[in-house]
Amino acid sequence: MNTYIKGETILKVENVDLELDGKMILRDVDVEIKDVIRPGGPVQGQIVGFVGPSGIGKTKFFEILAGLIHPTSGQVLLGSPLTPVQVGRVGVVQQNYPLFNHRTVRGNLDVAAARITPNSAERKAKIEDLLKRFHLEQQGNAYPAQLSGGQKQRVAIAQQMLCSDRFLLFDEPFSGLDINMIQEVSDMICQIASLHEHNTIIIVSHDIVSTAAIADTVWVMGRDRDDKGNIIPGARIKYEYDLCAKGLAWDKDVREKPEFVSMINEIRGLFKDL
Amino acid sequence: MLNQFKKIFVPNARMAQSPYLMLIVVQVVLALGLWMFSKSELLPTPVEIFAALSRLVSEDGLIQELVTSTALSLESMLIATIISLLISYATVMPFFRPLAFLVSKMRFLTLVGLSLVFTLMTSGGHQLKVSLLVFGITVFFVTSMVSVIRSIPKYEFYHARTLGFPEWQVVWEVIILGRFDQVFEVVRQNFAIAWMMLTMVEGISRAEGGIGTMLLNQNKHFHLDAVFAIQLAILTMGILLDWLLGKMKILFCPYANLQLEEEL
Repeated sequence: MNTYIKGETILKVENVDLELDGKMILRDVDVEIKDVIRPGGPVQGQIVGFVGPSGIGKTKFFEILAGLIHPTSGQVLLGSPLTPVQVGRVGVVQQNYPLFNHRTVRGNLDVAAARITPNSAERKAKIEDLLKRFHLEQQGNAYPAQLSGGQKQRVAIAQQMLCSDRFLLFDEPFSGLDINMIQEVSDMICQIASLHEHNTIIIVSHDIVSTAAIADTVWVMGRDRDDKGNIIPGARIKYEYDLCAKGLAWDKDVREKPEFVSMINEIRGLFKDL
Repeated sequence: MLNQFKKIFVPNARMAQSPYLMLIVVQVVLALGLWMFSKSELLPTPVEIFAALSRLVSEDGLIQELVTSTALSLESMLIATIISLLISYATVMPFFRPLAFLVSKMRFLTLVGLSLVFTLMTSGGHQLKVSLLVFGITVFFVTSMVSVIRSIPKYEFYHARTLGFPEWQVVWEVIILGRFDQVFEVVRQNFAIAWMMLTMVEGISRAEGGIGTMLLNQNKHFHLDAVFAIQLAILTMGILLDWLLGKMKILFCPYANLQLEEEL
């Protein structure tokens, strides 16, 4: 089993409620993400996943984590020391990888980096480094309309990496991808996480297997039921799976482990009542 | 080649360039043939129309009138575009939304009904015509442009905000630069509307002449061949200007047509 310790808290969701048009969407959501350290091991950022059935409020939770909307009550704190989230601190890779269609790939990266890296020579060096790392050197002068879906996703990730504060939020990154592309995206996420000790990747998805295969913690979101079996409005965190403690984190072949398969089946079973 | 022609009634079919050009030529020849041999007294033959066109150019200064009208519509279009874009972009601030709504609803007013008010407000025929055209274009332009802005999906704004842009930079990237290609489309559509309004406006004030005045004079004397010749000149100039605007769009926004299946 890998040895690890959990250090300081780097992201904290405290008692978050969200009510929209009189409808309870999220209720009492509490989450704490700690810095995972592997003494003597490789540099290890954090990859955490939030899974839950479609339509449960994951997207709204995602928007709250990104600072795009404010919860009705509660707060999201991040960084060291912990401070309230503000839009722009968390990089967000949306499901459809939006880019500025009027700018080339280099233009998209340049405009994203300008705030944090005002020096143009330094910015150019950062951009060229990312283009190389993401195998996009040939596409630097192309417009988004000329890129494939995978290339667009890499540009969107690179863009967010240039301007965020070590937190990257992925909305359904595996949705609509074939098995090879899922592997490619998973590898890329792991690579980003391993770039810095404090890099933290948050995945919001309904794809349990792909998320759990690369995450160190998985939270399952769902709604409670009353005595008569009726759904109580408002999703909350119902279950937490610490994959580090289970020995299922940071393992490329984890999908083949019986314990992993058994855990996935358990989560799938839970989905029916969420 | 035969396979290409089998596609002509297939939905969403793409044709190679040369069979497509041949298809156009065949249709033009067919239309001209029907026109040449039609017996209608209301439709002069192409020969009569081209004779009238030649006469209008050499004796009545058709080219000069066309230049006057084109200059008038370009001047009006430029002013209307600036005003309309300012009003449309200002709708990002709630304070200006009622103004844009009001301007947009004014498209249901008639220009003829407003001509007296504009006559009293302006000095001289040229100013009157420019004002009427600017008004006529602006009410449609604002309607189209506000619709373009309102239809921008929420995720595009979210994307810009997650990059840490201040809200004015979000407006600049997402609305102004992000929809600049669509401004050209709106200009093209509204230029066509302006071109249609031109003859009416030149009829209201005939001070400087122009193609509209010439058309009304020929109408009055029931010179059908000359009327058709002037219409042909108006149509040709309109198509030319529309083509130029299309080229300008490609020049300034090379990314604009990359996602289209077919360029129109």
